[in-house]
Amino acid sequence: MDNKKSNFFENVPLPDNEQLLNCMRCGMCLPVCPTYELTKLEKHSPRGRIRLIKAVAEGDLEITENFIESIEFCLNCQACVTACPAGVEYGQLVEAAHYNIEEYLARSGRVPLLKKILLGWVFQRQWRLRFLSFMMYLYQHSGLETLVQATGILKILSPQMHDMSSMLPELKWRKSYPILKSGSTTHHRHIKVGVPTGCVQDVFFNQVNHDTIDVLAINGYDVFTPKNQQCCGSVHGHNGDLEAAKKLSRSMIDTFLDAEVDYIVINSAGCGSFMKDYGHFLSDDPLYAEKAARFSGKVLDISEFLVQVGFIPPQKPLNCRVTYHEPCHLVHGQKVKYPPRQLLKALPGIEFIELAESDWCCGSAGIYNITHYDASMELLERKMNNIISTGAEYVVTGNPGCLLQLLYGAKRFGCTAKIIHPVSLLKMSYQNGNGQIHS
Amino acid sequence: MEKAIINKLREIVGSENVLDSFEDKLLYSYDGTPMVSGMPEAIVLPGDVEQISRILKLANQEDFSVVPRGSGTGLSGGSVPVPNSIILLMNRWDKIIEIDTDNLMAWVEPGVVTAKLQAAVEKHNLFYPPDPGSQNICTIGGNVAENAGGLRGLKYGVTKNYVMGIEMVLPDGQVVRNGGKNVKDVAGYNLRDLVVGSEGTLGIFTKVLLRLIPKPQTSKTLLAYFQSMGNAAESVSEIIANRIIPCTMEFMDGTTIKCVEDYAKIGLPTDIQALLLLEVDGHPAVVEEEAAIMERILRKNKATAINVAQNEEEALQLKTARRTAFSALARIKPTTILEDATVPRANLVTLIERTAAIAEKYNLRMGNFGHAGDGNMHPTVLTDERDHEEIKRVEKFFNEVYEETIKLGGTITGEHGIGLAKKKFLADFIEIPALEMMKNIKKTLDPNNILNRGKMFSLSPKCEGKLSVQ
Repeated sequence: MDNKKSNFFENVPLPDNEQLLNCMRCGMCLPVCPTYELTKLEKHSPRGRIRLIKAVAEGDLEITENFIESIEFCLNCQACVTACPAGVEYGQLVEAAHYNIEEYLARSGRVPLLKKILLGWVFQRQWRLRFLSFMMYLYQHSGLETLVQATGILKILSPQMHDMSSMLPELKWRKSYPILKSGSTTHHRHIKVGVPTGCVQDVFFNQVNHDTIDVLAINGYDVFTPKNQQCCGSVHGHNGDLEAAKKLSRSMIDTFLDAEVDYIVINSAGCGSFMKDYGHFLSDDPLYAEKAARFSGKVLDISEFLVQVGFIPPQKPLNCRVTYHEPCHLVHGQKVKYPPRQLLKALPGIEFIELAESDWCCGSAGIYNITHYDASMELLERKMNNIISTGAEYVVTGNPGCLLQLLYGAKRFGCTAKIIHPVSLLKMSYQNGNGQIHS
Repeated sequence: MEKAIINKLREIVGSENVLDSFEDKLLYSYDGTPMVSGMPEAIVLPGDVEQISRILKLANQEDFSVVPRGSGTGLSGGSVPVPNSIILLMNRWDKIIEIDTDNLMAWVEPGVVTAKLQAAVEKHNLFYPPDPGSQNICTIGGNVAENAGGLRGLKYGVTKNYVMGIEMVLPDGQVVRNGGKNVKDVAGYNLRDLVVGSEGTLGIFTKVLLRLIPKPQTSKTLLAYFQSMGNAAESVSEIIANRIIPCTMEFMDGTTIKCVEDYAKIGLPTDIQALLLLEVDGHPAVVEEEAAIMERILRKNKATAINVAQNEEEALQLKTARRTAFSALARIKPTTILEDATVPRANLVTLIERTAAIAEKYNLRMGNFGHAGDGNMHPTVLTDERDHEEIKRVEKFFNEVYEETIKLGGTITGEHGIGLAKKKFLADFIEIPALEMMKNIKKTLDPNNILNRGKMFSLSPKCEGKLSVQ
């Protein structure tokens, strides 16, 4: 048996194959897995994927088309990790599988072009993403988009491109951030908070970053927002490009540790989940292991930070009905379930309605809505139906991927609710009618 | 299996409904049972009753075995493939056909998930009580085949108490319906009761009629700690002697309590030897009265602390310890073996004590918890399947536990079934005439032994040794 062992877990940050043995095959992960729910097939369940990964790791199975299909259909929402009685770190197993698949595809020269462009070029440098978004801004605001949509030309040339282009929200002109914003003098707390601005968040939800900075400053925190930030590496990490992910994470660590911040507060669940894991991710890097652990120790989601470290209850009644969609990387990835709800319930004049299946993936899942469009849309429809039946005017969620997906879902499935980041709703409640901050 | 047979299966159900890649076979080689597996020749997803009938006829002609499977969460290997078998995958048969609120019954397809049925009937203020630990994913078909139990067994019974009627395909392909909505019905043999607990060896269920009851109006939860298991057991006996039948009477031993506290940090005292979780339900006035009597009995039997939930939220908190028991134990070692020895309630404390002594004798890590009211315990051994020497000791441990169980008038399985896992114990447990009667029923209904061949017992010597029990 031993001579058959493959080098599946080499170069992958995983303790050993204990994780695989810990799976008891009890099946508790099946009912919470969106892809199992869609297909009712074992190959699209966490238990099944673990069995296949085990077979590859033990040398009983080569990387095959069926194996790739099974792993790539996974949303990596990690709902199964929450459900697992044995504590199997499924996310790490799937990332290891992605890494092996990428290696295999690279060896056979078969990395899909779209993935190559996105991971290898766009997400490597923030200016490239900004440049791309500038082109999209021109496309949307020059009248070209209206023309293209009216003629339906994209639908004929490439239905996938058509769907993708209509998935994008309207881009606003990007405003740059203050590098250092001092906390409100009335409640000054002498705590320095670093804010990573993300890559997707920065381009599509630039305003959310501004709201984050403002809300932190209103609450008396000194906010440090360095220029020239790159992607945190999560997009690469989740898709098997570990070298790029490590490079990007080292750059993040240097930027924030050099500035001696007390906390690193993140408004994107996907990035937060990955940055909290830097310590483990870089544990075998002699130069960065200690720094990475220190960095991860400082990372908190914005909702977690405000609830734990403190916030001033806002005063302006919003008088609206609100529901909350849980980003997978917050509830399952970081186990942050209650802080966003506590924050929302602290807002005056809010009627909070629990969303059915609030912790089900919306189908965004990184670039899943591009790579597996149909499955993603099935999940999105289910999510939008649940949202519509709450009758909420605001759907709150703290992750750019979810925000993009739900904005598209609202458009596509005729939902009138506004999709908003919790920090933006919080800021609304700190402002009076003239847009002035009062507290 | 010859390609020609696979092609015939494709003709019956359509190409897309036969899976036979190596990966797919691997994916259906297991269920929830530790250390038991086997590869099927193909996985077949039937679309209707007619197709199932044709598949079974083909199995008779071509001599292959058919293993029905729902969600594959069984704990006795009931849905693990045997040599030269196909998996008949029923989990897409998941429609609730009818909820009859006049007769308080529901017709369901076998692939309906237990918890989904429960949620659906509760909307009508009705209640389907059987609640096996895997209720969020296990299917009604599997529950009926294994006669599944759960936490509410003492007061509400188990699956067999709720099956009113059944439609099934017999091994020869004939479709049989038996039972129905008549509360009283003595026309002939009770065929539906015969197949409850038949573990997929007598027929393929295609529709099940289940009895429902009104949903209890309210409930009250209590949690009590003890310095000895004896005191906990005394409390259980005395509560029942007072003619109170709680819907839940769960116990946990000291090892399990320590593991739960280490893992979940919910503030359990770690110096106690036993814990009882009790719940009464029903009419509000009765519930209050019974809860008060139980509290008094617990105090009298030296409970070191008693928590009474004042509302739903507190009740959920009290239940956390018991709900977390299995998870807490499961993450300690790679392999977790959960068994289900059961004795008449009065003998439970003796069995628990002897089990602990046997575990010590074989130097094994074992936590015990279970359903005190049902005399049903789940000794859970924490081990590592790679450690062959320890696994041998685990086997010896279970052999002795079952010997003790039988001596105390108990049964080798309370709710998991025989399947492959306990096959070797069945012959020692059941008297020969009864075992012969079981075999004769099987031979009559399934002369070619095509349905779940070799599960529960082997029919002829030629089957012996063909099973891939690892």
